[in-house]
Amino acid sequence: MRLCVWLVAVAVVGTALTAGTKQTAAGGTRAVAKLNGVFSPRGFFNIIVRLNQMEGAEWAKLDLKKSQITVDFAPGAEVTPESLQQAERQAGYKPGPVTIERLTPPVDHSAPGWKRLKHPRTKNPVARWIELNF
Amino acid sequence: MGALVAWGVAQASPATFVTALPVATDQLLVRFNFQSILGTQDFLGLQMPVNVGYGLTSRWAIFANFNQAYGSLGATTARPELSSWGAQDTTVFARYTIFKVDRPRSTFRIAPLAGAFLPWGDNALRYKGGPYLPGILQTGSGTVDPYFGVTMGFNSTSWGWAADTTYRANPVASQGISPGSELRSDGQIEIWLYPRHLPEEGLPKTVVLSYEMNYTKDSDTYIDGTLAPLSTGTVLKHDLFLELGTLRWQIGVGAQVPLMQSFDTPNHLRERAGAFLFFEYYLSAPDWRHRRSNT
Repeated sequence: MRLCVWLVAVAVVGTALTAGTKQTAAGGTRAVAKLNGVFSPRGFFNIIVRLNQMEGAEWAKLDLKKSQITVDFAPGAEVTPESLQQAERQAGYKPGPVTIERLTPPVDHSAPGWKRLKHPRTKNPVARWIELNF
Repeated sequence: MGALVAWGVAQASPATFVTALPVATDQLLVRFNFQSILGTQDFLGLQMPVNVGYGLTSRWAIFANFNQAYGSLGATTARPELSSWGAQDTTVFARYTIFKVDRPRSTFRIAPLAGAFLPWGDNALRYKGGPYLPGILQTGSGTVDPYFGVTMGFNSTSWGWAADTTYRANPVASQGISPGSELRSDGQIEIWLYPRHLPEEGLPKTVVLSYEMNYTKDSDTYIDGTLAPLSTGTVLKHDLFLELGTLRWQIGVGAQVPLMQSFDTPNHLRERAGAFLFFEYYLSAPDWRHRRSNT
């Protein structure tokens, strides 16, 4: 009986935590950066390399026709136009204007162009590198 | 072999030479190439260059080109069949983007480059310990060869062009065959075959048709430090490539045909046709540098 109560408690708490996570994820930040000089898929990869090293960047939407990249950040992540422009600069491009807005649910990442950014957490540098690239 | 098949393999859209396109800070670019060349005298040349590029900063990039090559010449009444195989000279150079104009969906760049060919190959390969193999079958120059030039290009989502001029200064080695210094100029124009109209959202795969021209002018060759008379040459080739590009990789296939080959001697080996295949993969570099800087 105690075991059942304990399992139910764990399930309830787990569900609550999961729901809480989804809720807060939707409360993140979205940055939309206009790009200059990016004309091919390879150019977007240059920027993704920089975003992979940006704390809190979770999703990126790559739009070639609009020449822009949209980045969704986790709740609590520090996002400034300058940090996005610095990423563009480090990728080799002249940065364009950046707008930042608060995300309101529901957040849909199923449209064409969305990519999940990778932030390997393992301490092994080789495993981290493999996870990042393959 | 280097005299017939230019070292050139690229870091981006043009398939036969270097371009000014950016390599992001901490980005690795790896390109695997396979090239085959057919020539007179039953010449067959196979090369497998691997190009590695790394973005030091947004403007500085370093490149290394490693190459394995095989070459063979058919037997004649004067000589048996000859062949060689091995590592060719390795190229290392740095490129700095000195000027750029970036606009939405287009870029124009100019980038000088400088480096050297390192003597990983052999310039004194012999047939069964006897005479030297012909220069076309030697795999190196025997010396450290300074290498410099300038590259530029414009690219957009419908077309682009690129051009470069480089000079490889080959010092004379005391032993073996020293190929002459090489002046090289290239031009390229490309058009997007697909997509003809960009989708409103997302990042499409791209198919590009690229037409390239390669001009090389070789100075006199030296053998064991002595001038080999009548050994200069001028070659103009053209190439057609089809390239498929995605976010992480690019693959290309193409053919090369010489337009003009002018040599001092009429019986000089001449290229007839070449075929190219390359696969390029983009990687994030290991992030120890970034992590260290954050701690």
